[in-house]
Amino acid sequence: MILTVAFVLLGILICVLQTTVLQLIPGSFSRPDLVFLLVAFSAYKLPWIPGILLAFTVGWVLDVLVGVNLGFYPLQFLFVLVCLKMLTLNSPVKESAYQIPMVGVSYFLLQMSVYLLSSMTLQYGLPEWSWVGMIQETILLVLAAIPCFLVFNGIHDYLANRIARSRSVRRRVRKHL
Amino acid sequence: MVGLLLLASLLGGGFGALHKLTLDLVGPLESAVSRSLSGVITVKDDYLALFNVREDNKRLAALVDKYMQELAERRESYHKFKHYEELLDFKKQEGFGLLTARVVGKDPALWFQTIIIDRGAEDDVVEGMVVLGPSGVIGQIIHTSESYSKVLLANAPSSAIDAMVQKNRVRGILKGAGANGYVLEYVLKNADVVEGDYIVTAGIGGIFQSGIPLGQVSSVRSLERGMFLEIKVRPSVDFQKLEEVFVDLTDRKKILNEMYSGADR
Repeated sequence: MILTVAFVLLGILICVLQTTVLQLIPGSFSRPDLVFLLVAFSAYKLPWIPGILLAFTVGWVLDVLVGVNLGFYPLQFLFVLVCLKMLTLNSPVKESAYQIPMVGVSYFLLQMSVYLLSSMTLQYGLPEWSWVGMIQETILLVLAAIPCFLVFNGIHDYLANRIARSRSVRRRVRKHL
Repeated sequence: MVGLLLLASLLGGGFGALHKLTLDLVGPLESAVSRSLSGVITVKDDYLALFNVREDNKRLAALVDKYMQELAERRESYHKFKHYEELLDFKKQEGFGLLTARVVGKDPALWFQTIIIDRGAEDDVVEGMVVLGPSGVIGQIIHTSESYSKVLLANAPSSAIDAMVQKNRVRGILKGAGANGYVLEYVLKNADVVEGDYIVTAGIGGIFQSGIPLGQVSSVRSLERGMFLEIKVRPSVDFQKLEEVFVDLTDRKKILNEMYSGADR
């Protein structure tokens, strides 16, 4: 519970940073999608329910902050979560060596499918698909994934240890009583 | 010998040959010693002075840093002043219907461009209102809360504005093309449109008043197929540098009426 709440709060903070601080990076330079990274991390590390809660909350917050077609972001993040989770369940992809490349591949595929779906369903035309821009975005995301995953992992392990310690203390107290 | 020499010098009364000889012998030695000593003193003085120079250098460098920082602050203040002066002039020109708002957030997505401003329903902002800047059209309010509103930028792919070429009033639809600016569509091939022409709002549809700047034609292509020109337009507004915007409140009553009549239906 505490872990879920902490990651949800972290997700909200990252949404805010993504729409404010990261947007200060000058013009044409790409910005890594930190929210996507958190969702991908939750697919690897968190159980189903907390992962879904997190993906939905960050999608919701982004929807509120910047979404034009409401509901789009939660759907997108839930889809990413489910796909990554299914892929990592009982498969060697779960190993940490595959995690970062998987983030890059899933981001690229997601952007492609979002573009395809949008261009088929939306009434207006989208700007031309840019391979260069997309590859640049993906490389930046993969580069950002390394420190971000370290930080997320650090927070996860710290909280998990604290929770485990407090549980064992509680158990001992109950035994004594 | 010593006594004799003492007597000679005491009673002789002058600086004799022996004195001179002695002086000539001792003089160079003295000179050498004093020169060496002065060298040591000079080295010592210079070394100590170097400490002072280093201190001075540090002090002056700190001063330079301080003054440079002050200069940068003043330069920034000057630019802000110029920017606010420009905004104020624009507001005065446009009358009292404009509400100033600060941009607090931007959309990180690739194709859907929106911004968040710090004005909402409590400031009489309603969905559908036009957002302007001194350089031209910025967008339209799409969602509002009590204190904040979301603006769909004019260069978003879902945005379409009735526009015209300023010089000859040729009309078309200006569509958002994301980071590429705008594309002016439905302009016939025989129309006189060249690079550098100004594009302004046409005023059709009642959302935007006519004549508000939108951008400048950056390229014109006449394709073999089709009836229309392919016109790319560079926005007059730099969407990356938005800090303050104006919400046009003048049509509030009209928009609300339209909203309520739409809800009644």
